[in-house]
Amino acid sequence: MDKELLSVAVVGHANTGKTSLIRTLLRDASFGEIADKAGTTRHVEGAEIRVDDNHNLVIYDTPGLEDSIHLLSVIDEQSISEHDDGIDRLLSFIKNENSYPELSQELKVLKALLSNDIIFYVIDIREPILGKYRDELKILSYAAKPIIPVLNFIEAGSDNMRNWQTQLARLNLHAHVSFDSVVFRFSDELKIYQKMQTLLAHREQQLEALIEQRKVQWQQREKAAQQLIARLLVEAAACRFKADNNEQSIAKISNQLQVTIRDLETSALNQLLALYQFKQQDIDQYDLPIQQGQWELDLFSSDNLQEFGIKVTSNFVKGAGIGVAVDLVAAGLTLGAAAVAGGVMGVLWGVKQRYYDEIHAKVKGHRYLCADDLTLHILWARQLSLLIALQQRGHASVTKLSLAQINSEKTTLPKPWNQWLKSARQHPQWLDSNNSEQPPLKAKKQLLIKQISESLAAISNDTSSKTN
Amino acid sequence: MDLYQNRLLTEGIRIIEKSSPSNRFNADYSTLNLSDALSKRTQLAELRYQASSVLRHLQQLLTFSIGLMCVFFLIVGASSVSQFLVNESSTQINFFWAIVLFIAPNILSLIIWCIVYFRRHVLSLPWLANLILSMLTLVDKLQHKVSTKHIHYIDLFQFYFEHRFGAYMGRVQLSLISHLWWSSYLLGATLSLFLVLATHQVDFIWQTTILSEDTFLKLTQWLTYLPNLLAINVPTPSDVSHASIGTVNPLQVAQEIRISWSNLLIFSLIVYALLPRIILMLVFYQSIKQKKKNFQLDLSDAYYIQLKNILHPIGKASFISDADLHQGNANNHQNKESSQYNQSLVMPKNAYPIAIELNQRNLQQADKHVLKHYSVDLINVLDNISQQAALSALKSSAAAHVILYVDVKRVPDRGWLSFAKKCQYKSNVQLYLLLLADHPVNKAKIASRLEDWIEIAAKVNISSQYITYLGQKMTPPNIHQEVENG
Repeated sequence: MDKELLSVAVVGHANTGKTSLIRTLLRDASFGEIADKAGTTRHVEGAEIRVDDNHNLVIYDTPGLEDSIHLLSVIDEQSISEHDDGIDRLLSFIKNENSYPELSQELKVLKALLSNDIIFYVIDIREPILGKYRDELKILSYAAKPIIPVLNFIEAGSDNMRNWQTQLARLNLHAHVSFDSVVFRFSDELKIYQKMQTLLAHREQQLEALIEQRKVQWQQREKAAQQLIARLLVEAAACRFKADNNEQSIAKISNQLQVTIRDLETSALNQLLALYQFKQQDIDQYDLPIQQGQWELDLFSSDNLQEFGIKVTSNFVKGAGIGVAVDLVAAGLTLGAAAVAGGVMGVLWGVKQRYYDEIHAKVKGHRYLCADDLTLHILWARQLSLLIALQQRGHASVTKLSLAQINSEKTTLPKPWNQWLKSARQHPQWLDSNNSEQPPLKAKKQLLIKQISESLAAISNDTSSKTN
Repeated sequence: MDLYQNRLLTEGIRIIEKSSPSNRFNADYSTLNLSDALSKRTQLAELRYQASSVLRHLQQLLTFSIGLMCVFFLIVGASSVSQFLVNESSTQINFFWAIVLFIAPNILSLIIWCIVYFRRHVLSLPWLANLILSMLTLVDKLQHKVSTKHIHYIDLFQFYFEHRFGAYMGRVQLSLISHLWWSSYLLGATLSLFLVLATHQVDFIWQTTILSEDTFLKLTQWLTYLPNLLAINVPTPSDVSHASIGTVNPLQVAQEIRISWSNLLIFSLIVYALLPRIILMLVFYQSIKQKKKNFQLDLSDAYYIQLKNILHPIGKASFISDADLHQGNANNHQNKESSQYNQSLVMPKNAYPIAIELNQRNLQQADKHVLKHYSVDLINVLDNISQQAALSALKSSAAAHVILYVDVKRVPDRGWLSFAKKCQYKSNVQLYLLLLADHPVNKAKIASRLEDWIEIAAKVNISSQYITYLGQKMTPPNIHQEVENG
């Protein structure tokens, strides 16, 4: 069965960000072509957004209306009868299309206007309000279709916003929305659909489904990203290597530890990028501080401290390096709790499983090395910054991204931070590569990941409320 | 393959693919709902990963291991009767000892199970899970079938163990195993006792130091309450009293008392120990079935979010609906004009200046420049009316040269090109392009835009010698007034 389609034509002057808007809505950086010059889009190109199993939204990108002054004068010159309206004028022009080869691109736009349900008119509000823009709007009004003016580049053009709003109001266009191809806000995207809902009352349910679907997708993706970061922190903290108690062995094992933690971070990074549908070529294009799926700045570089504004009260220690002592108090409690429950076999087995490695290392003069607090702090700050960057980054943004510019709470650690690290370090079995002898069940690990994810969600909510 | 097996296999494939799902299993998923699309993708992926055989093996391994332990406990239960209760050299059974041996530990274990089951954080049982893991590993090594064949066997083993004994199913699974093993033990004991009592003639006594006769009488009365209701012949209070001192009864009476005691013992074992365990075992067996039926994939996991993007991407592949048939006109990014312009442009006489879409600041700059060289009012073309006015004034002036003032920051478009062509109102008119800006040309963005202007200017025959750049904060290029045309 064919799907029910709701179609949108995205029109506007040249270089206003029509393709950028569609890329962002599709989460697809490969759609169309973007360049900082006129005439980049020359085809009418469409793409479908899946609403549900039975409905799709189709968006058409169109070439820019670059010569609206000439176009309007030609349309107005069309000989039509007294009773004919704007649509007839446009149809008359389309019928005589061969007479105006210089307006071939504009012709495509006119056809798109007449054949779609609704029109997004994209405006670069950094531009002054010129006669040609008024002419464009007049041409659009001939099509008698609902129009949503999309005010693009609102960050850079905020001074001009009021002028454009007033101008649109004079032309009876009150249902405009703001959008920014450079600094993406999910709430702006939702507003576009909500405005569509207002203007297309007979499609209200379909659009409601679309809004709900987009919200769910956004929330699910954010939650999954938070889980990834939480898991990375837990596994990096749980990561440990046994070294002999001499400098040579400690140096060698520290190196292994660093490699493992780097690998964990790289894996999380690639998953985050995949989750937000950023491909490697997109990363290169956007100049993220990432190369070949890895951070440009090494996790263990002291430059991170400056990059992420982390203040160090003690001397910065290179890489990893704290030995984890056997927590005998905890051992005693476990023993006691198990003894209450009965079963001497179980008690002995449980204590052996949990503390055998540590006790054995202690007796043999070994020590365990794990990532220090500062390394984990940097790890946390980097992922948090990247997550915020990915969420605020439209798939059309081409400007350089500096993570240091991202306003986040990355330097303030959550209250239970130390507790999280302590818990993770006491469970080496939470990282498979540790090959721990301890029981493999991971319910506690999931619980800790959940706690950290919730903390990340709280940080994300704070950041969103500050941004809005 | 039922729904549970299918979902389990999907999870198995997730374990194999680790963090990111592969996008090589292409099929038309767009017509299917997510559940069906996942199922189809699982089937395709299974052809490559062959995980179902490992999962099936693990299921069989678990069943086999549990079954093996059942047999073990059945034997333990059966042998405990001959070991601790009745043997060839003894013809008496201490009823109190029999109760302590079979029913009391069972009740104690039930209490512990209740505490563990209903108050989940009272006691952590990772050691028990680990004990089972060790048992499974041992049995698996003994069986030694699949372990060396599949490269992801260890990962799948850990996943399957986590699945059966982890947060979702663990408590129910461990409860089932516990009740099953206790049932086996008690069944073994009951059957063995029945066999012993059927083939041996024993007398029942009771012996205890810590309990008084009254207490034991009460205990026995509690035990006989249910069989009495069911009209089963059980010892009377006087029989109980006599049993404590081993009174010798007439043969007929003694036989009846033996039967009543054995009735009570077997009934107690079945009703107070075996039956509750079997009921609990069946309850948890059903719970496991229910858990399997309700088993859902965690679609909020990053892996499944990525998989959803593959199966049901937000945007479908784009398509061209109205292609550009004039590819020759398209922007040819490779053939960029060089950003050369004439730094010492000589302004022509008999020229008409026109400003195009200038802002106030640039217009002032252009006005100053026009005043310096010409004596005409500069028209700023902003719309159709001003465009027509400028063209009309141009024609009236009969100028041989047209100076176009534009803001270098603005994007040159076909509208500008169309107007520039109209300015060539007669064949020998030469257009000049004066680019105005607030910044020096060496700024990257301005330089790039300058290239765009030079490129579009070439389309109306404005070569670089007729183009210059006027930056407000820099010294204007050496522009001289020409004495004569040319």
